[in-house]
Amino acid sequence: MKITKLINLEILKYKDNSLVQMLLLFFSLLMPTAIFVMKNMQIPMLPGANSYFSFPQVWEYQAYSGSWLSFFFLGYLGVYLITSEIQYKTMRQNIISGMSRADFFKGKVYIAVLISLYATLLFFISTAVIGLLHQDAYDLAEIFEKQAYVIPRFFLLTFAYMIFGMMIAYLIKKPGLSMFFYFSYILFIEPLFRWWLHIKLFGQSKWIFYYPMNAIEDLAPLPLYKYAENFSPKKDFFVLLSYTEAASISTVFVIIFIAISYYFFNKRDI
Amino acid sequence: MDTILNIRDLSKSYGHIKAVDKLNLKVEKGDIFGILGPNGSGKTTTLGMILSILKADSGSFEWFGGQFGTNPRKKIGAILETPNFYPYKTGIENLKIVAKIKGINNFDFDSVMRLVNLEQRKTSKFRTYSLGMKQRLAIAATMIGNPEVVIFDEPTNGLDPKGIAEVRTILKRVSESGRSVIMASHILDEVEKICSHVAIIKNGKLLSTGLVGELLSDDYLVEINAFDDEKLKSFMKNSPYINTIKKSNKYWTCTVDKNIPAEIISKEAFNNGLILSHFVIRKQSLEEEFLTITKT
Repeated sequence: MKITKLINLEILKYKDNSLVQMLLLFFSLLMPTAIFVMKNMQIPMLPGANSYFSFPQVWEYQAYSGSWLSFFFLGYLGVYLITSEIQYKTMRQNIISGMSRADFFKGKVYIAVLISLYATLLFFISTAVIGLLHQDAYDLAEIFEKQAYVIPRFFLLTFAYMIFGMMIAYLIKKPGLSMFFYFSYILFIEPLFRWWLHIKLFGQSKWIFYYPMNAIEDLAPLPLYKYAENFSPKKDFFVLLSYTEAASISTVFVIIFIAISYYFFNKRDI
Repeated sequence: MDTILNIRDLSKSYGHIKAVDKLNLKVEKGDIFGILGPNGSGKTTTLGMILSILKADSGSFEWFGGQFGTNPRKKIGAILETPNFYPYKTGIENLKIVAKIKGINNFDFDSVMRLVNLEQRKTSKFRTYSLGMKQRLAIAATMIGNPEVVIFDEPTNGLDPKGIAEVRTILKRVSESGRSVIMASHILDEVEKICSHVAIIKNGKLLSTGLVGELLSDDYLVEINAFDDEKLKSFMKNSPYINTIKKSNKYWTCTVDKNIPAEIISKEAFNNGLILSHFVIRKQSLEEEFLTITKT
């Protein structure tokens, strides 16, 4: 089936689904407004709150707050888009009705791309507007000064969370358990692995930063970490991956997630 | 004759349980083919494999002689186990999704909704449907795109008598439309009434297959009862014409070879001093034949 047909089919399936509507609605409402919460965080010796809204910093702060929204709402949406089809047995019925497994799988990847593009567009528009509203003079060139790659980074981050969520769902299948594992892995399991098990087994090295969720988070890290690196007395002290490293590693993991998902989806009974 | 489905040595196990065991089956174009078996005999597993949602361990199957490649399912309409639709979408929207998957444009959804008596509820959400309505919507979905074959798996399962009657009427209409039909069921009565051919499976193995008429035994049944029960029992055991004997609530049932005229039994009973209170001759039903076959 053609890409447009697969995407249209996915839209037809979910346009009346209230959970999907709520997740997208909350993401859309919070994307332009979450940054204002950070404004109230008064941390001594660090840039004043109003600097959050100026170019170019506004991109990084908005990307960071947006990354939490992508993780929470859109990554979970990725889980739901698969578990709902399993729960309602519509995955089975789609195949029985004539869809190939490959087309079913592709449809889910394409809709994740579409949602990630929407999220990125919202990120761009809301950040540009917030930044311009806090400028004294309007200079369109300033919008993209020094931050030309934040937009594709945000797209990659959102897409990666969705694909990770989908992979969890393909592997675990059950809605509650998939949701639990999605959130637990990102918030607790990987950090525990990295900061305890990895160090215990392999000692501390830069490999500790090459885990999937860490790489994805470093696509839009909390900008304060950059200040920490600049002021650290330790030589070669690093907290974050570079944007290039984060993007490369995240892309590799996205490919791995897609490969694992497709392998198990194709191999198993539906 | 065009073979629309050819199954060769199909097998599948779930752990150590052999669900389907080297099954061989052929369905020709125009057949109304019933797959009969008790619960757990492998009917749904077989349908799942030929619809490519379950992976076979070994063996193969081929639809339409392979002319539609490895995905001929757009030419097939099927329900497997329960009706599976999006609960938050209406009946007609669910049918539109099926049509989109099959690549069907400009389909007359109202006509299939009328066929299954759901036209008045077409804009209601699927989750508001009763079980009977859900089953009927599933039948409607099988008709989208005018498929060459329709497959029904236990179509009257869980329905009340009214629902069963409605679904059977629709099934009869479908079977009379000239399509090939494959129907899995453990309800022999509906297979007997609707199907032209039947395959009987048990524990994943094919026990018997053929025309519904052919599968009936050559023996006919005699229901018999007498005032002297002990004498009647002795008579039936010693009679050279009577093959098997079974006691039910109100009378005895025995099988008699088709070449023996039934009045010989009556005459012989009288000659042995038996006054019969009940004597009815009838053909053995598929149910009795099925129970005989599956007991062996």
